[in-house]
Amino acid sequence: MIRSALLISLLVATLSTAFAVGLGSAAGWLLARRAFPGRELVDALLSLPLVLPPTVTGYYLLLILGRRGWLGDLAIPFTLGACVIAATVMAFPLVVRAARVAFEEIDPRQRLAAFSLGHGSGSTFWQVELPLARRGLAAGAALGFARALGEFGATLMLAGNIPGRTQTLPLAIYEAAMTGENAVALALCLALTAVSVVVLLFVGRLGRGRA
Amino acid sequence: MCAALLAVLVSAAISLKGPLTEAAKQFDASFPGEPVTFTFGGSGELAAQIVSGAPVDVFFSASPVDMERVAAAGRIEVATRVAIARNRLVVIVPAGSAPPTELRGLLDPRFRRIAIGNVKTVPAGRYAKDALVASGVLGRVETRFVYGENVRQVIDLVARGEADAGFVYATDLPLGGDHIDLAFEISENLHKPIVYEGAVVAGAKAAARGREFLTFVTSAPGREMLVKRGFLPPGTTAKR
Amino acid sequence: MSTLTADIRVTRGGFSLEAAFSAPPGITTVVGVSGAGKSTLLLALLGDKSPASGRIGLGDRTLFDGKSGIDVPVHERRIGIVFQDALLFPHLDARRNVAFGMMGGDRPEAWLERVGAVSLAARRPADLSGGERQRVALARALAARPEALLLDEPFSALDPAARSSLGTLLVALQREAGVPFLHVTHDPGEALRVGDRTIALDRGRVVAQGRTTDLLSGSLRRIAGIGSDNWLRGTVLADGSDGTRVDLGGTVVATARLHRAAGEVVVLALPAEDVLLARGEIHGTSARNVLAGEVVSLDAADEGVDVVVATPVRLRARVTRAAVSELALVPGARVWLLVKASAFRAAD
Repeated sequence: MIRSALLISLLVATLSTAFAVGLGSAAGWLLARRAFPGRELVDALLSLPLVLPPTVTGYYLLLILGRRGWLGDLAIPFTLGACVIAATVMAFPLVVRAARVAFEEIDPRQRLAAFSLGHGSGSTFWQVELPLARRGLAAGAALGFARALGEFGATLMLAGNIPGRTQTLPLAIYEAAMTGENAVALALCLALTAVSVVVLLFVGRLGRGRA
Repeated sequence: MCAALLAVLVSAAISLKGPLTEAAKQFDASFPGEPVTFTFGGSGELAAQIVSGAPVDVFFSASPVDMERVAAAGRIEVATRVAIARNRLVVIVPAGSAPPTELRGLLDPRFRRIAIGNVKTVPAGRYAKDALVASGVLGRVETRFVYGENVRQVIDLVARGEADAGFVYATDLPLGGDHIDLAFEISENLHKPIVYEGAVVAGAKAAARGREFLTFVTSAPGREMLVKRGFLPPGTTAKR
Repeated sequence: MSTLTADIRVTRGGFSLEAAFSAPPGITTVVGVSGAGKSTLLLALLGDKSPASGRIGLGDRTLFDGKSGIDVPVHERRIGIVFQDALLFPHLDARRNVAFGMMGGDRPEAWLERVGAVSLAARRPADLSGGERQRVALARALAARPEALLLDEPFSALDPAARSSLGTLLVALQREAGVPFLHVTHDPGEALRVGDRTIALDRGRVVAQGRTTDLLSGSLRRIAGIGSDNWLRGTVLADGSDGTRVDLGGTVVATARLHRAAGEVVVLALPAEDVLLARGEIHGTSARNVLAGEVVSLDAADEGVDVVVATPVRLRARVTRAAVSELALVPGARVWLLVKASAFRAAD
């Protein structure tokens, strides 16, 4: 039980952080660079999972992705994919906020300089903006990973608590505690803590880099 | 405000929600005093909370196993432990879908997801698992289980179509309303008897009134409310 | 040979700029006080800010045309820019900064060598001084082989020595590149030192454009805030213990010792009040400079009259109104100017 929960949690947290960073960086860049009508409203909506109770977010996800949900039967609930979706949704706002700030802090004339040297929007993003935003993005990724790793409420609602399939570390800890398996619960907690510490150290190194 | 602080806190298996809520109302009306308040959930979860020291006054469990757990931890007034009702286990399906007629029917691949209470913490899940073991089909359907943290959740999963079949108590059928259909009742021979037990928690603050409520539930008016909802009287525990 | 031409109207916030000019290959300086619209002009030429109307052309390419809707994006204009604070990419060393816009063929080290910064190739911008950063910025911009180069007060934040040597470097670089350089500055001395031509901006309008030397002795005075001073550019002929001789391009003057080598370009300021005017040639005075010339025009000044005399280099002399009538000063009159050597001040 401990090993499967650990593996599932690692897989889910890594995948969802990757998705959250990919989508979140893009969203953060758009919010930072393009002033469009309703921009602040979009920012607020994207940040909702941050402030809503996880069970509320989980309920909305069920409404949309459930078998009889708005998008029809995509066979998502009770799968590993559901864990990843729930964790990504929860981690995403953290990454977006960090990304938006990181990109906004870059002197807009840096972009202009890159353009004047013949680089288009895409090339400038990859070669100038992204490296300069690296520290902020790393911080966002760290927060996102922590959030994804500790996700409970929305995961429980969308993915269920199926040992060996969707039972992540937080769900396993809860179940072990509820069934009086205190030694197991403690072991799971230590596993979760250890993973978190390792990741924070790693991401911290990425952020400091050779800036 | 003071009365609320001295309210009787009852933890009960969620399948008892209907009858116990009504019983409490009648009890408070007939015997004025501190009001009775409830926490409903899976018996295993509730037992764990009491063992950890939750300030509960009375505990109603859907199985002797969870009551035994609390007793073994020395957390009940042993003299007050009493059986209050029995129940039957049934299989349900989403409204309109073709029901299986027996447990072996669940082997059909069209039952992609089968909802069952979390075996570790929900008695209904344990009873269902026992029945499947006894029928020799557990191994082949186990991979299709999705778990509810209590029986209400199991009903919800089937009612919403997230699960193609589910195990619930016979008394829970009205809760699913038009969204579920009864497939069949599970023979009592296939699992341990489903016996609901109640007891006053050791060191309860409202012990006296708690005892009174427990007595009320086991007396005629209490039994009336249980029976009319489909619960069976406690009787003697049937041997396997 | 590419000439940068513009005839545009730009609005930015509540400010509006109207500019029509042409900058041929060479250094054209844009002079004006803060807020005159210099940055707006550069941004419009670069393509970062679209004009409300007008046309921008570079060589035979149209970069912007309000009527036909042409608006070439920044990265396709082939116009480089050097900012006041260099704005190098902080995460790349000098070599990679220079290589950023290169399209292959050249070596970044060659460009760094050209600007005298080859020893800095491996350093990060944070480890460079202001002057070193500007050298790298120049190399970076030119390495991309632009068809025109804009410079936004590139030397304003540097000390005078750095300003001077970089100015010399800039002139050499332009000669090699052979494209128009548009150099924005608020310092008329720098304009004189570096620019063949000057455009004067005042409150969003081009008030004058032409040869730098002409402008600085004319209407540019007020705009550039140089009052009635004469601003002159010349080449040092000789420099010794009893002073320096400078060729202003047709007129040779003697000044106090400037400690400059022969052949060096120098910018001098001479207050109009320090120029004496006489109707006849006078001998036996202590003035080291006695210059013959012809009155070109008379301009009313705050306290008196500025008499502009062609020697042939145009010099201003400030005299009283009484003197004008007493000496019968009219355009065309032959006069002599007397100037002490010490009245000239090096302005760079």
